[in-house]
Amino acid sequence: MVLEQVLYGFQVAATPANLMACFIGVLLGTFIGVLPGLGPVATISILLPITLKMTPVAAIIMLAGIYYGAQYGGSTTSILVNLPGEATSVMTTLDGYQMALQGRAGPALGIAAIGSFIGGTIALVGVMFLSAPLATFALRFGPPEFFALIFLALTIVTSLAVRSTLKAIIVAALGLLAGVVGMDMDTGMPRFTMGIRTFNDGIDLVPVIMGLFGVGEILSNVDEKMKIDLLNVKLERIWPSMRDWVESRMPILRGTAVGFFLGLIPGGGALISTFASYAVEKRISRHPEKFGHGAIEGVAGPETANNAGAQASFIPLLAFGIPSNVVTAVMLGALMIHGVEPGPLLMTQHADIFWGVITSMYIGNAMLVVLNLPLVGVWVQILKIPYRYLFPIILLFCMVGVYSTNNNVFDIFTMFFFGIAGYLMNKFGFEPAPFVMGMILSSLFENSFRQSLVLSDGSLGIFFSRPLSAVLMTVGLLVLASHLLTWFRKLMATSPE
Amino acid sequence: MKADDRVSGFLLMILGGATCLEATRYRIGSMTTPGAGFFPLLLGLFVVSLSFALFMKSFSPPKDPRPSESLWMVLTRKKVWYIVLALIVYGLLLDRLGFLLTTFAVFTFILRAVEPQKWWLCILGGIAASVGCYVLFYLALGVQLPHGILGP
Repeated sequence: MVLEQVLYGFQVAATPANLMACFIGVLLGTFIGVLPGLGPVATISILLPITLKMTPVAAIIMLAGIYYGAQYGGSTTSILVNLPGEATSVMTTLDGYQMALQGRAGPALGIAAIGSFIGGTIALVGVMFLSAPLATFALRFGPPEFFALIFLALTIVTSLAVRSTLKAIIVAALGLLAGVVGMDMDTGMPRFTMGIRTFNDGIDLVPVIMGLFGVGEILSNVDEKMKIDLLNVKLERIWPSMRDWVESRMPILRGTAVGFFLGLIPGGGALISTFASYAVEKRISRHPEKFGHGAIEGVAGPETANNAGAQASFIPLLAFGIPSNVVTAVMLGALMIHGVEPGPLLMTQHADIFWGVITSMYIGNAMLVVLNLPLVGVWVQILKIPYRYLFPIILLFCMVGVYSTNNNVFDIFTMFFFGIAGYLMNKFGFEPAPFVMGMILSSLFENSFRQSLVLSDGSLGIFFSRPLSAVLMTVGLLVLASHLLTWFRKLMATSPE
Repeated sequence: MKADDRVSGFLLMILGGATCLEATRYRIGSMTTPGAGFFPLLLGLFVVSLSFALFMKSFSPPKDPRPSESLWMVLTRKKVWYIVLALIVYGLLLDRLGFLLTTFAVFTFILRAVEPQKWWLCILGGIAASVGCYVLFYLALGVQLPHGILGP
C-alpha cells in the first residue's frame, strides 16, 4: 500500500516543474541558512505571494525545501564564523568552531551535511509510515479532541519560548484575538473589525507574517552592528576520516531518534531537538571534557537532530492539520491560501500534495548533500555579502510581495503595522512566533470550543470525559501548572524578607 | 527589562480591557449557547490577568542588575525611522505614481538614507531594483502592478 503511494509520490515530485520547485527551495534554504539574520520563517513568508502563481504541490514543495535546506546551511556559518546561521545551529557553534580553529573545518562541515542527510532521510521513512495511520485516527476526532490538541500545542509552544514563558503565553493569546477579527462563523456577523471593511474577512495572514518576521527583523537588524569574522581556513578535505566516522556513527543515530520524537510532539521541531541531542551526547560520552573543545560528536548529533526534527514536524501538520511550530504554521497558512483545507482528510483528498511533498523531501535531501558538500566553498563566499546590501532587497521583496497577494495597498499598511509591532515585541522581550500560531489556530480553537459546549450542554466536563481529549488536556494543564509552580517558587525566593 | 515590562504590562492590560469592552458589544450568550462575544471576552480577561501578572512582576527586584536599553533610546534610532517612513510613503504613493516610479524613489531613498552610499550608486540601485522587480513580478510571474502616471 505504502509503496504504491510512495511511487505515486515520486511521480508527482519528479515532474520538471516540481523538481525545479524543490531545487529552488533547497537552494534558497541553504542560502538563507548560511546568512545570519534571515531565517526560514521570514523567507517563507516573503515568498508566499510568489507561490500563488504555482500549483499548491509545487508551492509546498518549495517552501518545505526552504525549511529543511536552512538546517543544512546554518551549520556552515556556525562552524566558520562562530555565529549561528540559524537558531537551530546554535549548538554547532560550540564544537564546530573549535574544530575549525584546529584546522578541521572540512570534516566538521562534512559530518554536519552527512548527518543531516542521514537524519533527514530516516525521519522521512517515519513520516511516511506514521502520517497515514495518524490521519485515519484523527478522523475520529470531534470538537473536544481538536480543542484539546490545540490547547496542548499552544501550551507547549509557549513553554518552549527562549525568553519569558509568561510573555509567550500573552503573545499566543493576542494571536488568538487577532484570529477572532472578521466574520463570526455562527452568526455571520463581523467582529472586532474596528470599522475597517477589509477586515470583514479576517486579517490577512501574509502581511502579518511578513510584517512580524520580515520587516520586524530588518528593523531589529539595522539597529545592530553585525560583524562577521570569517575564519580563513583552507577547505581541503571535507570527507571525514575513518576515526571521525567511528566517533560520529552513534551520535548520528541517536540524533535521528531524538530529533524525530521531539519533532513529533506539538511545539517541538528542529530547535529543541538540537539542545536535547547535545545534552544526550555530552552525558553519555566517555570523555565529556572534550565537548566545547572540538568534539565531533557535538557537531554530528545536533546537526542530525535538527534535520530529523524538521522533517518529523511535518507529521502533525499533514496528519492533523495542526502545526507544531511557527514554520509549519506558516506552511499551514500557505495551504489555506492555496485553498487546500488542512486536516486528516488532506491525504485522501489531496494525495498529490501529501505524497508529492513527502517524496520531494527525499529528492531535496539528496540535492542538499550535493549542494553542501562539494560546493561549500561557494556558500562561504555568501558570508561576505554585507547586510547593508541585503536588507534593502529583502524590504523591497516584502513591499512588492505583500501588495501582489491582493493588489491592495492596504496590505502594505497592515504589514507596516505588524512590522513595528514585531520590532517593539523584540525590544520588549516578546517572541512573535506564538502570535502566528495563535492567529492561525484561532478559528478552529474557538469553533471547537463552542461546539463542544453546545454538545455538552455547557459543561466543561466534556473535555475530560472523552479519553483522548482528557489525556491531551491533562498534559497541557500539567505543563501550565509546572510554570505556575516555578513562578510561585521564584516569587517566594525573591520576596523581601 | 524591568521598566520595560512595566510599560508593556500596562499597555497590554489596556488592550485586554478594550477587548473585553468590545466583546460585550456582541452577544455573549451562556455556557450552553456561547455567542459571538463569548470567546473574545474570555481571551480579553485572560490577557488582562496575565499582563497584570507581568506588571506586578516588574516590581520584584531584578535578577541581573545589568541596565537594559531604555525604550526611549529606541525612538532615537534614525535608521528605523527611515525604514518606517519608506514603508508609509510606498503605501501612499504606489497606486498614484505607479510601481516603477515609486519603487525607484523609495529604494533610492533607502540606499541613500539608511546606510549612506554614493549618490550615483543609489540611483543605479534604484533603477536596477525597480526594473528588476518589474521584470520578475510583472513580466515573469504575471502579477498585476499599478502603472500610475506612466501607464494607460
